[in-house]
Amino acid sequence: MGATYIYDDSFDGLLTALFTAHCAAVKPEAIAAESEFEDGLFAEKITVKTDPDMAAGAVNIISNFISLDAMHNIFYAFLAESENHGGVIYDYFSFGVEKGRAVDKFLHDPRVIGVHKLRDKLHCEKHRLLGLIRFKKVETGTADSKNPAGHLYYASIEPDNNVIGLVAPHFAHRLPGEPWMIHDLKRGIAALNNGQGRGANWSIVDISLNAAPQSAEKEDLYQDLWRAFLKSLVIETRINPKLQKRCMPVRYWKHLVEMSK
Amino acid sequence: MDVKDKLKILSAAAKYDVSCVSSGSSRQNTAGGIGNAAESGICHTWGADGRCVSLLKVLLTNNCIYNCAYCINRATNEVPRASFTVDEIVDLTINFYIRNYIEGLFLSSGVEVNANYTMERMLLAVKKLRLEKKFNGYIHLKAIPGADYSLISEAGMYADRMSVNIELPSEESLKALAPQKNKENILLPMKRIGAEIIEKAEEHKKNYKAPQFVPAGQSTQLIIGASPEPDYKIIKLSESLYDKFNLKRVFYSAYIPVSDNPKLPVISKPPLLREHRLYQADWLLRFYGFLADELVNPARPQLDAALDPKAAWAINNLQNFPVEINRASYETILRIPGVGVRSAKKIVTARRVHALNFDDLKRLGVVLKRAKYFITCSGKYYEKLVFEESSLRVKLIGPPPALPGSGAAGLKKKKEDEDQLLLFENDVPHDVSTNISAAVTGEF
Repeated sequence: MGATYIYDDSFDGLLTALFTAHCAAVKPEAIAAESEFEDGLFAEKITVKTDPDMAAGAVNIISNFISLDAMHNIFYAFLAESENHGGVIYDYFSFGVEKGRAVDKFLHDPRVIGVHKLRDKLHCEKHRLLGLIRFKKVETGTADSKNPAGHLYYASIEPDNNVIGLVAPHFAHRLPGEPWMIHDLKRGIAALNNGQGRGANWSIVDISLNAAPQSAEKEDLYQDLWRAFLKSLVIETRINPKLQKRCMPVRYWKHLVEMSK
Repeated sequence: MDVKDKLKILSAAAKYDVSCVSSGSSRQNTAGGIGNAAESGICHTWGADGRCVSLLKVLLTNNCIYNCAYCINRATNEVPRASFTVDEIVDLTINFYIRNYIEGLFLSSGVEVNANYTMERMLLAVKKLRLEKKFNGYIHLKAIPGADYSLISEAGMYADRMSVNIELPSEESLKALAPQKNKENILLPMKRIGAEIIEKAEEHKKNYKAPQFVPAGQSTQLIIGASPEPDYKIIKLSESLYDKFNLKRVFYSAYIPVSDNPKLPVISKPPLLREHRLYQADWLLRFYGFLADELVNPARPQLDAALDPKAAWAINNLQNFPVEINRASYETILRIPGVGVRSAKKIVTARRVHALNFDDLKRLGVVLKRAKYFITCSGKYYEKLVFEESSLRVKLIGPPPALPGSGAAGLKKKKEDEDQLLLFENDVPHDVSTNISAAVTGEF
């Protein structure tokens, strides 16, 4: 039985493990994240130390000897925080090294299906959130040079996957002139836009808030108008709550202005 | 009257317009402006009726000089009336948009005073949004039939999509139910908008700075079941609208009784299953290479209620089957019942590196429930079966309820079918009601 490579849960860590496996004469049986690995009686474990150069080596192999699509797939599969995604990615990577750029044509092969499924799961949640994110206008104190607007459009989310870096560019293009924050409560991170106009003026920061931010003036009015609008838009003879729940899963309702009350 | 009361009245008055699409435009953010349009379109929420909401869909006013029998806003109907000011519309749009409630505005209107007056006011609202507020979100604007084309054309410079609702699928029905309207007033602006879209798109191709005109295209809506036209007439009409007027979408709206006018049919529930079948047929026209005459014809003027239109076409054209998965062209694979565009694309990709068998198809995510009767994989059938219309029909419409699928998978499948059936509850013609759960699928 071959060894299992253990990486430190980071993307660079995973890439380092892939690179190490690629160079090793005896291939590992599997690759697993530190947080997920359960010691077995017979499993030999080798801890891989994250190394930026080796990670870059893996990127080079994937991009040049498999394809850029494969690099995209691997990154997205990593962001989809599913159990054993490291192992799934390793299987896909090994198969990719064998097949080269044709790897993504093997749509019937479990090694390809695994990564494609994770990628699609991420895409799906990302697209969903583009619609379901709700900004609330909140006070940020007296306006000064660091806080020129005196307000912020704040949205809280608790997505299944780590999608914040994927949804932020959408809003950076859409609302470049507004200061806004999309706060991932589950992961304690936020995408922050400074509202200084077009260009990449957003970044991802670690954050935790002690209290819910204070609503700005008129915020309650627009929330109220939005609820009233949705209520009168419903066609009574077509009422279909099951369809509604299937399109918009209940786990997202908590952060939706129209569903939370 | 405050904005909230107006909003309640004017969104309720607009809700029977089914279009709520925000796709097809990739309008960019401009310097100092707010918003852009997403090519794919984005749904923002779903109402209790399960319909997606992506635009602020309201009327500018529900005052109307017309008295169309099928319309809730007809002049003689006693409903509360309201009108937005241009500023109110603009303020709501911007503030909903910035909170990410909506993709943009869908502005329609009752005809107040006359068509030109109404069109001018709608134009004012979009111009204020686009020019003054630099709003680049999605705007769907109704063209008011009978308004000067110069006004409609100007509006088209600001809108992403425009639409004129035909509502009634024939001239006779129009005369009976909407005597103040006429066919020319409806079709002429559609024709001219369609022509101008093509013309401006050509200019835009040559010079990217040339202004865009209705970049997300034109759509219309037909009411189903308020007038006696069979599916054949409706689908033929849609086909010619796509071909001749360059329409992007035709929407179908199951007639919901809003009036007790004796000219209208008395129904207890809107014909939702029929609406669903028409949408399926519409998809076959637009994405699957079907012609209207293949789906319905004068001898068979209605779509099959128990079968989706592709399956119905297949069992009437068995000479085209079985299709060999590993050799057939993409276009042929698209015509297999149960195989959608995504599955067809996956099949033609995967078979280049591997001869596909039935297990491979399942792993690809191809739904074999209906497809298995119509295909071979490297010459093999899924199961031995008689290749003949009546037995296939029984297989497709499903086994009687006494023989449910076994095990957890079977139960899960059954659950899904029930979910899908909810849309059509109590809305099934009597002769097929027992078998309908197997026939109704959400493939489209």
